[in-house]
Amino acid sequence: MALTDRSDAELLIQFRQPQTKESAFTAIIKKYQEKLYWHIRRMVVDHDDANDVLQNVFIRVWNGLENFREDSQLYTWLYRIATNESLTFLEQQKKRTAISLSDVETGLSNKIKADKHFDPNRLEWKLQLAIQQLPEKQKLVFSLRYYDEMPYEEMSRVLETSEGALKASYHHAVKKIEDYIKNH
Amino acid sequence: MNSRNTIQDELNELNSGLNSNTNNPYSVPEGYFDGLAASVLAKIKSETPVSAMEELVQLSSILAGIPKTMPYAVPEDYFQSNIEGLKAFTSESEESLVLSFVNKEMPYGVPAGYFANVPEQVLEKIATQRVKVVPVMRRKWLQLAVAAAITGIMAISGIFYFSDRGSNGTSDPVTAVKKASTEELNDFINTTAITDDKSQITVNNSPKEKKLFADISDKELNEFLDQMPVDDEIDIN
Repeated sequence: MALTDRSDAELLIQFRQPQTKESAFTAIIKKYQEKLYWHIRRMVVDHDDANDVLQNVFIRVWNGLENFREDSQLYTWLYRIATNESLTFLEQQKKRTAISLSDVETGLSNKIKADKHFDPNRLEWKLQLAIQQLPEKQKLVFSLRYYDEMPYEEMSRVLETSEGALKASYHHAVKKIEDYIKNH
Repeated sequence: MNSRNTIQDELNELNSGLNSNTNNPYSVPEGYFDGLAASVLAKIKSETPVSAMEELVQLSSILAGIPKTMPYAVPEDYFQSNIEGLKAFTSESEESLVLSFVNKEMPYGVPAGYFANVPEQVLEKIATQRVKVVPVMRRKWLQLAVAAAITGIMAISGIFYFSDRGSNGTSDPVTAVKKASTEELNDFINTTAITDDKSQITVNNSPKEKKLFADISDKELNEFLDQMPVDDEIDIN
């Protein structure tokens, strides 16, 4: 059986044995790298930035997986790390350039517009720009629900926020994005 | 009615003054019970998890109609891995009538072969993290080096300073005598009258010394000399 076909529980067991630790870790990366990559990239936009964050995420996974308590799904835990690393990255960018959060959002919008494939007439691009107008946490909620179709129960463990608050946040995000698309 | 009579009989048996025919004093909003079933069902539906797509359709028909295609381009074979013949990822998507027209392909461009290299790059970084030696003493060593340099500079300056004093006209008489040749010493002895009378000892003082001794009389000087031992080897110039 290919390592990536094994369950998370099996991979965890493999990871905790010295002789199979590295191979299990490689399997985990291959299993989750895409989902995590896109989740990160929707936050930071730029590929190089997403790559840096993704690598940091997997280094943290390597260092912390030994002590993973399995009180949540591995998938949930990975998403939580990826979310925190993305937010940390954006916070560091803000401090490094001494700019306000709104300028960070403007910067990300500019990065989208600078993409060589950018087409302002296409709805998919407008949607990306609309998403960047949202506050960081709301952006996360929208991304997880809209693209990853994550159940609210699981999202609440990832973002450590109540389901009710997440639902309300998502509903507001949808309205904001709808208004943006109508007006642009 | 039958049950009402039974209850009244029961009250009578208990010799209770209560009357089972008493009207309910509480009022109920008009139409309350008519709408109760509908409101309970609505609440149940709101708490029942729905799919993200169903929810989106309910919230916004505009957003529900936008294809979920990500506009960023993805290089061909980016997510495929050739290492050990393993699949790069497994994907499980729940197909539904609503989702059938939705394409969630991400439009972002990703460098070719990127995902194939991620595991290797991460493992390399972890290995680097392990052998990294943190120079704990670096700052302290630097401080010591600076202190040693300052001390050296001060020592060298001191050496130069004192050696300059030595060569500044106030020569060490012992060294000067040792350096002098026998011929020079003989010349000095022959030309200089040596006497025990200390008052005959003339001292060629520098202007600074003359100033120092200006207020001191010769008598006082002689008295001082009487008290101090005279070293025959001292060459007073």
